[in-house]
Amino acid sequence: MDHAAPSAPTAPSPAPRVSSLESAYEVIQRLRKRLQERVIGRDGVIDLVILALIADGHVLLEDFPGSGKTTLAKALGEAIVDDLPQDQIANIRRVQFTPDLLPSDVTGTTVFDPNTARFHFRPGPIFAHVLLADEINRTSPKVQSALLEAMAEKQTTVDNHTYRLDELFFVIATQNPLDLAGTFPLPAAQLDRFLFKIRMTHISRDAELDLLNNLKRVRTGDGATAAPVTRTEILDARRLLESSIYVAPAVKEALVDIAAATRASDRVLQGLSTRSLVLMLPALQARALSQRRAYVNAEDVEALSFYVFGHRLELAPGAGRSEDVIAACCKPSLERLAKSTLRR
Amino acid sequence: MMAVLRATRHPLRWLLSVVATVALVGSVAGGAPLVAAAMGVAFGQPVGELLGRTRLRLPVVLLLLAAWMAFGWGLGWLFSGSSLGPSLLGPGWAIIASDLTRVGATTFTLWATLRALAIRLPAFLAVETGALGFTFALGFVAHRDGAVARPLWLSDPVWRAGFDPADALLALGAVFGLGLLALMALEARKRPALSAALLVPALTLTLLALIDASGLQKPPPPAELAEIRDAMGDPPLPTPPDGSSGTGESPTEEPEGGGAGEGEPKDGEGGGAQPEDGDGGAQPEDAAEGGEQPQGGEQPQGGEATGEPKEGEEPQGGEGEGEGSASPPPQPDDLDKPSSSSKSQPQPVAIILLGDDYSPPSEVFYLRQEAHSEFTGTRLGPTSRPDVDLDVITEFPNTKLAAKAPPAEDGRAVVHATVALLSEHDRAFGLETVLTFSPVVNPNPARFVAAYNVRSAAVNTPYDVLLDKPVGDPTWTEDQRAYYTKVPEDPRYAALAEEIIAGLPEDARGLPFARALAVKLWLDRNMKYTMKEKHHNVPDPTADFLFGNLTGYCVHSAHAAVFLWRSLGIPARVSTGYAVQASELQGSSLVVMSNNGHAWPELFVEGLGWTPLDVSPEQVLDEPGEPVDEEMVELLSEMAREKPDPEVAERRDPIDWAGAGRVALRLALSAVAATLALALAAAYATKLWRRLAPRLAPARALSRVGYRLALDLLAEAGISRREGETREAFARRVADAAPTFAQITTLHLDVAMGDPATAPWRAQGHGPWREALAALRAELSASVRPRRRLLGLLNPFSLFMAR
Repeated sequence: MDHAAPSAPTAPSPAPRVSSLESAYEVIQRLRKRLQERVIGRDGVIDLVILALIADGHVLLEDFPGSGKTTLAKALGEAIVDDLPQDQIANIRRVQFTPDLLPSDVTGTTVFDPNTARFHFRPGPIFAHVLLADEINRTSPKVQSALLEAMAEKQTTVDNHTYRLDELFFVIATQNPLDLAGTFPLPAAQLDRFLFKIRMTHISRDAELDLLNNLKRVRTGDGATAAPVTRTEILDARRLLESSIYVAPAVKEALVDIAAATRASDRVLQGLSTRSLVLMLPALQARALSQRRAYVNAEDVEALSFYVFGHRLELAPGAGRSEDVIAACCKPSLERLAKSTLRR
Repeated sequence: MMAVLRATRHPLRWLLSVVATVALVGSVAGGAPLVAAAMGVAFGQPVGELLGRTRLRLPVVLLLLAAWMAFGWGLGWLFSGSSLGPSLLGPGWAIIASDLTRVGATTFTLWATLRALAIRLPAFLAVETGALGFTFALGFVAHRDGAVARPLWLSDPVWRAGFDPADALLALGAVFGLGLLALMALEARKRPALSAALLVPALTLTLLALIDASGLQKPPPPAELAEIRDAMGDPPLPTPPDGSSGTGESPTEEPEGGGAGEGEPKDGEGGGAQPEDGDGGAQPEDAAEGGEQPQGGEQPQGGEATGEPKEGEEPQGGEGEGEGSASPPPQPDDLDKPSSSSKSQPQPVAIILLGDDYSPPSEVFYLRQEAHSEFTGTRLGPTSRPDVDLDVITEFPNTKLAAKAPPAEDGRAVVHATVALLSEHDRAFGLETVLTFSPVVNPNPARFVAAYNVRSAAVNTPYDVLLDKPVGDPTWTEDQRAYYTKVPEDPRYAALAEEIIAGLPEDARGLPFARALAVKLWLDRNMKYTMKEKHHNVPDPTADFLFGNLTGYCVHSAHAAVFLWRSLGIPARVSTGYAVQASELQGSSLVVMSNNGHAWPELFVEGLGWTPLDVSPEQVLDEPGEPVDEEMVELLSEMAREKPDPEVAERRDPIDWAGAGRVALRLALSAVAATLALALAAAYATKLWRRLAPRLAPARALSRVGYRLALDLLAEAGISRREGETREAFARRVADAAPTFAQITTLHLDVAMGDPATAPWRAQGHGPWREALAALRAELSASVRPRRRLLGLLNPFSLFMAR
């Protein structure tokens, strides 16, 4: 369907290059609007997913079946226009993870072509911009770890040959928090690859009504008013993040203090890793950008700490809810951060 | 750790309640009831604790305890009220058993009830703690103001050890108070409240302010000397009870009578037994007693009867020289004070160690403390003139003091002496005439209250040598001479004086000293000495004495002699202090007893100065006293000769501890006040500065000082950021009252957290800040009540609310 302009890969695309904060913000707004039209009542999740996309992270959604995960993933994939169609990489792929799934079912495999008497690599579903890994905890650790390499390194190795994935590669994995029979829960190291773990709740009554009333439009995407964004725009926004969103030293100090507090807390068995802080930075910057702000502030830290740190902490038995533990660990650092602004 | 610490509250509470109960019951009962009470509280507390922790409802618990008490009383009745107990146990044991059950059941029930209530209703924790303190205090309440040495089981051993029971009681109270504080701290639910520790200094300061603790430690001053002084300053008229005296006969003297020249704080207490006015508060009972005497117009007869004169028998009148008849003044009436066990016995008040060999020609050591020379109508009082009686030092030596006008040393012997005081005196005394006083280290602080050295120039000339000496000082002005010779207008004095000297041989009649001697001898022969005749309710006691029955004591004879002398133109005055017979001297030690208090006449002999020439009556109506115990003199002089403890020697005694305590308290209070005032001033200055800073600050600092001002404004309106709240969240929270604050927050954070390389402050400038702050003020004045804003403006601590 996108093969209408196959011969103009390098021609300047109609979308202008994203070079300023304003334009990057505009990209985010456009994407948000587009998704909000397709996924009703999930504004918070949409924002987080966009942040993860801009921050070059992946998302783990924890929710009950039928709560719109797939819809969200599909809407995201469709909202990103592939302006590089010749690379044969799909917009969106979905893999339903089952216990009998094999790594090659995800990564792709080499097949023998009798015509040429040669082996050809047939790319698997991970060669996509957006990969929806449904019920990721139902498959064997072998498959899970195959996906892990792809998520961390943006590459996959099949038959000793390493293939690059698309630069945009973004994984939305889901798991059911309750139905744990016959599952392989993700170990801590694997959870660490996800930037956010988002626990979704049921949408509000109004949103649910709205959804039922506009079922047709939502399902087909007809009548969408917001324009899609292009793959390049998102990549540009990612690059802009690093160079243009300022992270004050006090914010970095606060992050380090929070990590130290979780390590020192007796409610936590294993505190935050350094990697979680490294991943936190772009997420904070992405949030600042989404707020049209050129710097990270304390509220970014407060807003994202649970989504970034929640699944990375191993709580002591009886420690209570991880939200409370994280809030308790953040509070002194946030207070110091707030006070720091009045310092010379 | 904390749990262990908290758990100590149970044994602590148990211990405190046992101690308090024993202290209370021990003060009213002993033996079986005391044991029963101790057992009752010892078991009652744990049982109350257990009952409180059961699931029984509180009324049930209380009913159970009431039933237990009823059971105990019923059992008690069975033992003592019915015939059953005595028949089983015998009458003695029946009473004991009855006491045991009743007292035991009562204390048991009371403490168990308090404990159970405290467990169920936390407010009763305070009641229980209060009951603890109250019970303990009640056991010692008899010892009010240090005047009553109760309880005896405590005061007797403490006295024996050489301490004041008041000290022991203060220490005991302090220990118990600390225990209560610890208990209060530990009872706190979550963790020991250290704020309770702040109560200790607060409590101490309150106590110091309220009870003048340092004043409690002094033994009372000798009442006998006070009595003399009392008599000297006593109003001559019968005084109506309301203190507004005056029968109209001598109205001019009225103000004098009350004042008595002693610096007493109140007129009503004119003759107060307290020589030290600063000490009045510590001994209210004493003061009250002293104050009653002049008002009531009646001397306590009971005390007088037991106050036995001691040296009344001594004078051997034949010699005609000033045989001192140091007269024992009456004892104060039955004060229940620490020395109550020996109230009828004179007490030693000082020991004097003579450093030089000296024996007075009058055979009496005159230890002068004060001079009374100013004629006030009917009697003599301390002088109010600055140019007379300059040989008398009227202070207590804290540093070396010298007399302003010492006598010539011809005819006098310089005598060094050390005086160790056994009771407080507000001014020092020494062998007449004192040249210098200098304080020395108290050789035995447990026994003596102070010690000092005296250098005196004591009269060393026999009286017969003086016979032809002129009197008066040639350097005196007419005014001074007239002052020392002023006499009552009563013509009878002059007439009597002339009559007396008419009996002198012709050649001696012109010699002033011989005239004076003649008067003295006349008085010696004719007066009858007794402490029982006070001449109290008469306008002019001296005239009443002299022209009446000639019966009285030293104050009367001294006044009579002085007035007669003055009538003859001889400068004279009355001195008060102590007079001790030379025969009392043991080695070089001289003990001054409380009944040595004395008043004697003196005349001024040219070249010799003020010379005592005392009346020694031949007829003494009172019973003689007992001689001074030699062993006591030996013991006291040994103590006075002790080398002071080097550690104690570090302290320069005598130090006025009470005064020092008050000064320290005042200093501490003023330091606190000054610190508070400084802090307040600093807070307001800071507030003002922070208010002005945005106008003065450079653009770079504007985001900081401008935002700070916004925070100050909000804080004054009672709005401040919560702990851990982000600035943005705070701005959203106050959006109702101050919508502009969100904008101010953004302006601030843009600079504070933005990339300094882009210098966001440059883009802002003063304009937006000024507008935003003005808008904020307007919004706050619209949304916050003026009273609240004014309060915030005045609140110096709003600075700390601006976070």
